[in-house]
Amino acid sequence: MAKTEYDVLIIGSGASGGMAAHTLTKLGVKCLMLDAGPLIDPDRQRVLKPVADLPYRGFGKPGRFPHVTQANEFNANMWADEKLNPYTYDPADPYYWVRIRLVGGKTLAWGRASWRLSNYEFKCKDHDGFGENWPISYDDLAPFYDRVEPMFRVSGRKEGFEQIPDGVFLPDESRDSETVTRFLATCRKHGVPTTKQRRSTGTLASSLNLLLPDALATGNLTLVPNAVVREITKDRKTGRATGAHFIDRVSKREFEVKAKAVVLGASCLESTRILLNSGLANSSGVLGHYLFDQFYVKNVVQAVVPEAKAGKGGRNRIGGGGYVPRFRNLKEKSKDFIRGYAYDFGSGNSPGPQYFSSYGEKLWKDLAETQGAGFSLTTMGEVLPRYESAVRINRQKTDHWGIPVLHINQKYTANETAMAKDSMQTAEELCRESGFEILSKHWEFVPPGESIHELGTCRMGANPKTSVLNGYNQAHDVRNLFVVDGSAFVSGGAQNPTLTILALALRASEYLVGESRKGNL
Amino acid sequence: MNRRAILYSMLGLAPVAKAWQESGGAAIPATLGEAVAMGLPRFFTAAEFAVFAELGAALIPAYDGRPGAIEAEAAEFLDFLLGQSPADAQTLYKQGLATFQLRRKAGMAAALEELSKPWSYAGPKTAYGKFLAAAKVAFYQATVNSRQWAEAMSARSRAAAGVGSYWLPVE
Ligand SMILES: Cc1cc2nc3c(=O)[nH]c(=O)nc-3n(C[C@H](O)[C@H](O)[C@H](O)COP(=O)(O)OP(=O)(O)OC[C@H]3O[C@@H](n4cnc5c(N)ncnc54)[C@H](O)[C@@H]3O)c2cc1C
Repeated sequence: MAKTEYDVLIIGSGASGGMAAHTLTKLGVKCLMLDAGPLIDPDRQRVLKPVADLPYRGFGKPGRFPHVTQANEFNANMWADEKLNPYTYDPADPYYWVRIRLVGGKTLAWGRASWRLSNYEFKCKDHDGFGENWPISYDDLAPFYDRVEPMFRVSGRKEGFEQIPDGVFLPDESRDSETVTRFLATCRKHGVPTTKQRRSTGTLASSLNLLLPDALATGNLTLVPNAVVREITKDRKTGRATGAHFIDRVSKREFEVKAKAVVLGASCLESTRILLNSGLANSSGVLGHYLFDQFYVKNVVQAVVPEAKAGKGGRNRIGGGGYVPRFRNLKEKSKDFIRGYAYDFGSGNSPGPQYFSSYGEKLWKDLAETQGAGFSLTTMGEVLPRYESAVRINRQKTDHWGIPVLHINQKYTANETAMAKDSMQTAEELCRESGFEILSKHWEFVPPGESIHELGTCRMGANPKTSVLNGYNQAHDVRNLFVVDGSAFVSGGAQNPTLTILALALRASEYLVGESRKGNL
Repeated sequence: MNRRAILYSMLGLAPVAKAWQESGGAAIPATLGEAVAMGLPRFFTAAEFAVFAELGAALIPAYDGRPGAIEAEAAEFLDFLLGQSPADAQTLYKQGLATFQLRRKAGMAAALEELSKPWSYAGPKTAYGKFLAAAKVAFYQATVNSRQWAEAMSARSRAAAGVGSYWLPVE
């Protein structure tokens, strides 16, 4: 295999690697893509089953996924096996690392929420002095968002909100139920902005069906599944990347491939792990640092809509949801925290038995009374990137393929806690004023990692002393190496990151081709 | 035509599923009967199990046409599940059940008193309270996810079968 030299080696086939392949192959670049997972056909891989026919009645095999709360017995076989893919953390600060190792990566399962970042993120330091600005501004990325949204057929409603810029949407003209209308009116009264969800449409808006087929159709892509990359190789004299060593997932045989340039898109923490294991791109010493994500307070408030109780719901009265973009620290300053949070809200759910202090017949009555009458919100809050939040290689432990694993250290701090508490209070007030009955409220966030929006550790920056990549996702130290996943983020706001990952990967890939043609790599 | 019949005919048509059921699937018991036949260890002793089943019946009784924990064989299922669960879950249930047995002497209402606290994120403060809260949700879920539930409820409503999209094992 080492015989052919490809133009570009792409590591990873998810959102970032998929977009790189899509862009590069269309520009005539010969690409080799390695992915650690097998190639599956989601239609043949899944069958409809009644929960009662599963061996564990939907509970799942105990102890199989201690860190993947999203795993259930239906989807258990989709997630990366925790025993084959271990990692470590200080027991006092658990980290929930959620991974999928299949061609298509996590885009096989993503919720498809698709938001743009704004200059509140790109120029965050200008607003409150904390952290670093990105080396790019919103205007640099806007043309690329404009092209990604139609590819993923993002639906949404234009609003003119500065903190979540409008895009090229399939217009969402769906009507709101009475419940949602009531909540929106309360928000309006308090100056809290609201909008429809913005979401990639189609049942499987995945790299596997939106990006990879076009790339393969060009004839310029060689896709190798089951190829677990151990390290990127380099030329000792020039310092340039020359290819990679990988291990066949099944046979565990080791192979080497060569390429003129390398694009890394193995997902945020896997890419950084590969770089650390390769001893590459770290003259700054910040590789692995500034890990962040978004904190989630799941069901920060669970309420019940009185008019929809006892089966009086119905489609006009209750159902549907929406989104509250960040509203804190835009013009006025909060006293307890910097940055802000967003809410997803939904109505028409049925609160589970845990919310009622009853049992027996009374519990059945409570459940029947509130069936389909629920209203709930989830907080998604900005997490401050901190130097101390970091990953490093744990030399004591290796994965199933003998590759040293990550030790992950991330803690939420006072700013996140203050924000989470504010979000609970605000959600409660908005619900009460809308006439909803509060069943439960809390501010406790899920452990770091669980939001599946891990970001940073290989951040961009104008200064090579304090960042790993330049504004085109290109390693300061290694000109022919690009890292195109969420590890490049400098800050992340409260918005789900994938649309931005896609736009950055598109932009970086086109830049790569331009530089290569100019002989600059 | 019966929705479930359509479903099973679809299952029959899915080649990967069939192969799986015929090969690897057999390694895990598909039913409780099979689990027992395979001689898988039970978690509770016979005496404990009777108490556990009584608790299940009190938490999730049959009601208004809905099967309860007894009808759904929820205690049998949870016993099977607990036998394979991590040590902390096993301890919670063993000790919790012992406490329940003691408090039961003062009546069911007294034994279940700790369930009357309002919901909080951290859950009940005492180990016994945690046990009751966990058992309530587990008995509920084991009941509504049972075959008996699906059969009883599909007669009442068309949306009750609890069907999901199952990921087959990746080789
Ligand atoms: C349930 C769920 C819901 C989500 N919802 C949303 C949402 O609503 N909105 C949103 O914006 N985001 C969402 N996300 C997150 C989104 O899926 C990710 O941000 C996105 O997929 C990241 O793309 P990526 O290319 O960085 O990584 P991935 O998509 O994970 O792809 C990485 C690929 O690299 C491969 N790989 C890893 N290590 C190696 C190695 N050593 N060698 C070779 N290959 C390797 C993996 O097999 C994988 O295929 C969700 C994720 C999940 C799981």
